[in-house]
Amino acid sequence: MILQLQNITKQYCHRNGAVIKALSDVSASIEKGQFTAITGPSGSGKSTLLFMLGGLLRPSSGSIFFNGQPLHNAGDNALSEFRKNNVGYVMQNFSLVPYLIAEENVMVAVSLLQKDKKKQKEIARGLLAAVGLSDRMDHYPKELSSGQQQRVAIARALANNPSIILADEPTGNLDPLLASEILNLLKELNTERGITIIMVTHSPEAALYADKKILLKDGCVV
Amino acid sequence: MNLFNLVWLELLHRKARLVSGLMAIILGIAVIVGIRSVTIFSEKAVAVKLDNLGANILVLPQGASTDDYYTADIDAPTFPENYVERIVTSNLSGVDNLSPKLSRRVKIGNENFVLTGILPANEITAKPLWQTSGLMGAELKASCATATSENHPSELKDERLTRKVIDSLDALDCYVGFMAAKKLAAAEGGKINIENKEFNIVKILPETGTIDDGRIFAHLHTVQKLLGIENQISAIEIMGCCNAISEGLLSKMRNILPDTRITTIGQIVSTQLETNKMMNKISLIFLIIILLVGGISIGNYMAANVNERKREIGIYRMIGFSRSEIYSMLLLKAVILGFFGGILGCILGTLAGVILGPQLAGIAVQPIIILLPFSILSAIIISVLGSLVPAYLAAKIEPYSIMQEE
Ligand SMILES: Nc1ncnc2c1ncn2[C@@H]1O[C@H](COP(=O)(O)OP(=O)(O)OP(=O)(O)O)[C@@H](O)[C@H]1O
Ligand SMILES: [Mg+2]
Repeated sequence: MILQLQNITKQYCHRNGAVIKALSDVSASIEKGQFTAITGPSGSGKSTLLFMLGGLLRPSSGSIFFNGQPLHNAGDNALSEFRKNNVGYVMQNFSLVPYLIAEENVMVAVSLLQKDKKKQKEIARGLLAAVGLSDRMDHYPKELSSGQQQRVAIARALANNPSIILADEPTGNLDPLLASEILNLLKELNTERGITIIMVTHSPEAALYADKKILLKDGCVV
Repeated sequence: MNLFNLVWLELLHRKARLVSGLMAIILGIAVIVGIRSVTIFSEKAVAVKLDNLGANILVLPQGASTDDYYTADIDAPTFPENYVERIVTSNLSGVDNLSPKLSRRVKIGNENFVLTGILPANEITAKPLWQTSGLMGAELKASCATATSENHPSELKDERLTRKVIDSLDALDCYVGFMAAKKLAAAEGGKINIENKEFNIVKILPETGTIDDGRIFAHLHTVQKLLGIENQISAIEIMGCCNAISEGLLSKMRNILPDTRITTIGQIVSTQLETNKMMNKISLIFLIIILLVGGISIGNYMAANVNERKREIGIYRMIGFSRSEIYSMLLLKAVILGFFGGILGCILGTLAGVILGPQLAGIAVQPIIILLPFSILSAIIISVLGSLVPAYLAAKIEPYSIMQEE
């Protein structure tokens, strides 16, 4: 068990004072090396749950453990450390830094753990080659297609050699062909490198790639 | 890749905004540097003028008229010569070249002349020179401190005000003013008879256009004996450092010499000091305004920059940057902005001073190197102070809220 959630609730306090219950009493566990899909209708709390698993968000109540260590009461610096060392993120909207070329976008993530610039470059190039972008290293994000941008994001997610990759609708902005390319890439990382993958998705086809599904509805697991 | 590389790449990415963000700092520093350069050179110019004059303080007996510096000592009452000793033995600083004088009208033939007894340079009592201190804000005392007997070479020589120091003078030697020599038809190497005493004419002085042209200068002690007023003098000319004067030197001297009247060469010293004071005040006011305006506008630029980069900062946080790393990233940017703003501002201000100084203030201005580190340092401080709040807000950006926005 790499990640464990116990009785998680999450409430957002909106600016207008309303309290929005995004998750209520969610318990789940994720095994090491598993490919998990989180599905459910829009607004059901999928992203909220994913951010919680990735140390971006703390629950209002309940506990989260990563390899037995508590995340729910970790401080901001501890969560940054956790993300830096263990988690890779792939988001729907590609989330690349516009003024950095593909290589530099990956290097930024590498630089958090590797200070030697030569090695940073080497690692970044290796990762981009692994996602099939050897010939686009010096392209800015706007000079890349959507599918290529998402590959750069995946290469960056691999920069810290993560044990978990969290993906929030990674194929949401892609056409079906590109989508299956990305899903295959994730599946490959899962089976060949043994990386635990948790993916939020709307699409039933995408969910087929997963070993396990968590279905959310109104903030509850069904 | 490190924080510096990241900051640098971001700076280059948005060049147009960068320039507008830098503008306030550049202009602010330029104004300060420009004013400062002109002020420093104007202070130097004043000091040079005072140097040429040789003396700028006049000690006169009580009751002497001080309407005109050049005639104040003629026929004035007298006071003891040992007043010179009083000043020398006091703990006053900022006075030099104390030169006692005795002037009286004398008749030679049918014409009136002024006979002035002076001490040559080798008999003038000198006080030790005072210390100088340079750098920013401190006045340039150095040039005030010159006390050599040679006439001081300078482009800003005002002949009308120049009284050359006479190096040596024998008991029966005399120097004759330009007009007096004309009237007497005297020539160098000749002799004149004053009050039944033969004097050797050592030199005819060049024309100055002042009352000095009608004077005959001879040795003080000879003149005293000749006029029967021994050990008395009618004036002491003193070279005072202009800062010492502005710091109340005169009233200190009045305490030592109670029954005298002590004045400065008012129109020169005080008006120039006033101008310098005003310039210093203006540059201080500017400094404060620039601190505010520069700080606020840099802060404003940074806030806009942070707002624009919210998403990107969220990404950095997502992949594991800590809050303090985001904070450092923005402050590093502020330091870089300050550094370049300071350099460019200093160059611009110096150019303005060099070009406008001669036209507006009639003063030749040269680049002052010491202003560069000062400019860089103050620009960095302004920039960092202005960026503290935006940087703090940037560090507070939560990655999850950014990721949800689309
Ligand atoms: N920062 C926030 N402040 C207030 N309410 C929020 C905030 N973020 C999310 N919510 C609310 O919490 C609920 C769950 O949001 P979440 O983003 O997890 O849904 P989701 O399942 O990912 O939806 P989608 O499929 O549309 O991405 C929603 O009702 C949303 O309005
Ligand atoms: Mg979502």
